[in-house]
Amino acid sequence: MSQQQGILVYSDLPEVTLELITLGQKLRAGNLSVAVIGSGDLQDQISKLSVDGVTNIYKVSNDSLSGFIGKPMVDALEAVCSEAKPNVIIVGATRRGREIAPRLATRLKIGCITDALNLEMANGKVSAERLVWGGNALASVTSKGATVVTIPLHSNQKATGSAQPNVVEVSANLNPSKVKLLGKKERPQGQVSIKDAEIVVSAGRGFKKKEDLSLLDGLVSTLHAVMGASRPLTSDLGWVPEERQVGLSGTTVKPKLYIAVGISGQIQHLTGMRDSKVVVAINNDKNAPIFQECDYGVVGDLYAAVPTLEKALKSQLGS
Amino acid sequence: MVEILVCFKHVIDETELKIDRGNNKINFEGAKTKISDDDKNAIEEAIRIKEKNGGSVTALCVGSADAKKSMKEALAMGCDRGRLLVDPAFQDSDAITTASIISQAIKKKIPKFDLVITATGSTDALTGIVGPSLGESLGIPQITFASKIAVSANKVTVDRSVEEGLETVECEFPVLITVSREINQPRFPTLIQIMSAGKKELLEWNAQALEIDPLTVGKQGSKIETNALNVPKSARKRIIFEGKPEDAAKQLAEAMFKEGLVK
Repeated sequence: MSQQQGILVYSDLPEVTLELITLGQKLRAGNLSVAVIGSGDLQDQISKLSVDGVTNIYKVSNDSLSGFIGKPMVDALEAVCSEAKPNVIIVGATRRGREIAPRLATRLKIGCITDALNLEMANGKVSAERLVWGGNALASVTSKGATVVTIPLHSNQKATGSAQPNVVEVSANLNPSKVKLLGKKERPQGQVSIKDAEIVVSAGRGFKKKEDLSLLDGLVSTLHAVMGASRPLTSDLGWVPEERQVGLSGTTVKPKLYIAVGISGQIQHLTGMRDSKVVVAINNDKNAPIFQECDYGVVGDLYAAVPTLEKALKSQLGS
Repeated sequence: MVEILVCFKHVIDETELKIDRGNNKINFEGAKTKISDDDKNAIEEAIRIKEKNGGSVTALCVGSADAKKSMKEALAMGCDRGRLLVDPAFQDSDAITTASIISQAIKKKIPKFDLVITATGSTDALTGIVGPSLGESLGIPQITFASKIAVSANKVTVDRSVEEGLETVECEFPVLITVSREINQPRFPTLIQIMSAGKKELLEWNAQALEIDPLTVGKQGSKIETNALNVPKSARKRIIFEGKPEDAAKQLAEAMFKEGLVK
């Protein structure tokens, strides 16, 4: 692959692809191409992704892509790459993206940078920063030659506008995967995941027993928030379902407002909420690390502070 | 009988790092090392599958001589034998290169296996690359982000969670599976297990033993280079209210309104 140039973006979630297109535009590194893979005519996706700045859309349609199983997805993207010859392939860091990006890089014998922040391209080199050591350190990394990069979700605005990109149909030789999809359970409708919540109220080890978590109910409903928790409450004590865990081993959240109640702020937790716009902390230990990482803090007993906070917010809201 | 290979990483304990905010540096001095947290879930799952279905577990680790300590812990947990891939040439390998070293070790030395289990990522570099890249290098199917694994005869049935919900997939052996932390609670080995771990077979394989050309690994064989480590800046306001919790909470509510956080 000698004449690689330009950028190819892909995500299995079209909403995320729109975010990647915005990033691709910012990089100004030649053609901006989008891969659309799946089964059927894919027309809905193609029109949705025909936004400002997109020069080409590479389409692979095949029945074996309907289940979004890793192998045919990598086969399809490999075929798109041999047609588009991009220098950088940007993949959204969904779970499927986290699988297919390293697989694609391994196949193409090129480098792979995951969860890239501050991505830049200059002189044929790709450079980025990534959080390592549980978010304690920021590593600057560079890549020799072409690279597959994954980008954390929701780190760019969605691209808008409309354009008339060339739509290139790519025929790929796809063998069905040995991994067979038996069933799918969709996340229940109406249940907002903490990942997408605008306000998250998280509970930690400061709560003495499971029943006490109901103390947060009023605050959560007053703020129309979603409840999260630190790892001890999910993995160790099992008081809160695992999918609500905020942290390195749970979910990374980026709400407008994050309220940490009874959370000391172990690195493991901080990594999962570091990108929140505003952080509020309530904890009785003045020296808890969370107070170094918050905008507003209350040093005091959460059992006294939470009901007062709820009442004060309600009266200000006039409800 | 299931022949299982489990891969883990020997890392510096990130909770022991000291942050020097003044010099914008991280102090690694005196920090302890450990098996990367999520890799313990991978080891635990491998042992559980063996306990239920019979077979054996071989633990693999690319690391320095110091990684022997972690390997002994893996053996104490219940792995049957350890394979340490250690060579100065392996140092500074990026994640894809590390996966290629493990892949070569498996192809060369352990060609018969049913399952390869890894975590979804390590606690230090957190790239999440090694598992998927290893599956690709070995040329076997893979299932990522597993939250439940059931083994029957010659296949696995796995629950995995993706953005839209939960998928159930199945695959015949051989297959590589990356496991999420929620899959299990790793055990603590007993004293007797710790003592008897020393008797289990622990082999060290270097580049020569694995027929790896040193030029293809380490810094020169890697595409990704890490140039600097800095402390991320925290730009939080740190406005702290103290005193009576009720009063502090009221002040907090006012501040939240002024900031327009509550509407």
